[in-house]
Amino acid sequence: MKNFSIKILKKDLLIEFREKTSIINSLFFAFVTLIIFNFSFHPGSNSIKEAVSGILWIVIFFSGVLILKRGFEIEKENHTFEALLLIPDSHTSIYMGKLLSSLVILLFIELILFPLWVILFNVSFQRSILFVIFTILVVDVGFVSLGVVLSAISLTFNLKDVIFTIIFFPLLIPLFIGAVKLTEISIIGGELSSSYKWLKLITSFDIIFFWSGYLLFKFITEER
Amino acid sequence: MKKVSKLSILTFFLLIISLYMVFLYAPEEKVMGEIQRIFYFHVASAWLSLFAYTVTFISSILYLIKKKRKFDIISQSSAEIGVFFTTFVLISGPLWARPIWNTWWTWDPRLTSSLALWLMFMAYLILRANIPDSPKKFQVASVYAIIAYLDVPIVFFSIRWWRTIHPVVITKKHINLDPQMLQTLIVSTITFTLLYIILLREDLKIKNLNLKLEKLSNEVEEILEKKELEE
Repeated sequence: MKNFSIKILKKDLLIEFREKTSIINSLFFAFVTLIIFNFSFHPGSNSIKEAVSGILWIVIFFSGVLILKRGFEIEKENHTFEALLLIPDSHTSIYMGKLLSSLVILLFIELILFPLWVILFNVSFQRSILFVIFTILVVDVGFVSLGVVLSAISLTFNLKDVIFTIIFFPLLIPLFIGAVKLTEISIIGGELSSSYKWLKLITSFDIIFFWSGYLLFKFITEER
Repeated sequence: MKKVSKLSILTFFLLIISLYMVFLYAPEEKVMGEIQRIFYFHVASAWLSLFAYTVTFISSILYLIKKKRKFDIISQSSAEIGVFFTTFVLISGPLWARPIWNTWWTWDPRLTSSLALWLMFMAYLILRANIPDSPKKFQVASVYAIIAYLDVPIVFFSIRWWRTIHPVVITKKHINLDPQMLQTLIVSTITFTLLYIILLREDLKIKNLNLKLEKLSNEVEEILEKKELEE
């Protein structure tokens, strides 16, 4: 199973980085949204300080949706999903493979987006930058663990994009709150104990949805 | 004339009794006044919606194990009733909050969690409405219901940590209620639970009839097609 998921990961990354359009699309979408948000504040006002962490995560979640959708769309365009199903123990391999590839692409986008956000919104950190990077990592894991399941659902039934967002975002509320709070703590500063609380929340989200995705994915891919 | 079930008759009388208790038996609250009476139905519906989602969760798991259509129908009906009662909670809450908190809506944890719950199970129903019926749909809908239900405790915690001003009436140690108020609350909760059972039963009946109708109309179509071919 491990072998096949690594193969799926490599294949997806190869396709995405050769084709480039979808990565550039999501990246540019994120960038444009970031700029647009800027205009909802008075230049130099203080209220922007409270909103910056929320802005970062809204932008990441929206461009993350594009990435997640893309992960299964390439299989559909090339009619290769049936081929993937031939892999022994296919559901877990597909789940893990798609999870990893979406995670890597999301991290790649964040690698570019994050410095842009810091520069454009004049963000300065009270905590070490490692804390922020760690936050982004744990949140991303929860995001893709749940997202891969839902994008597989929307692929199997050819759902419209809007339906994907409708079924995905309500479930993300706790993750979003946790992500914003942790980022806020690293910008504004705050008690360390409260950041543990949020980290606990996000890791439990990660664990619950990784396992439920892992266990339930077969019901989505299996032919009935 | 169709027979009315005993349970319906019982619920009917209980509804009248609980109305009497809510408006006449329970004493008026000192600070809040008459508006506090909304509490009895508000809490009962909130309990009921959680109960309904639990039923959806359990019967979704049962569907994945047993693959029997009836479990999927129960999941759907129960979620529909749950969403209906969550809607009622979301309406009765602001009606009470306007005079007491001096605002229709605040992002208080329980209000916000109810709203999040409503969004999640509305999403479940929207997902179902967008897919044509097939065994695969029932399977995927069950997966979604399970995931949504697993999200409920995380949503509650996250929103509670986020902020709080909702009155906490029932704590672990004791209940901060006048005994007559408590009795009223218990009666209205039981009534609503029975109401749920009746609604679920009737809804299942309707859905089963619909299934039968579909089957029959398919059969009729087949017969007509055969006749056309013969001619």
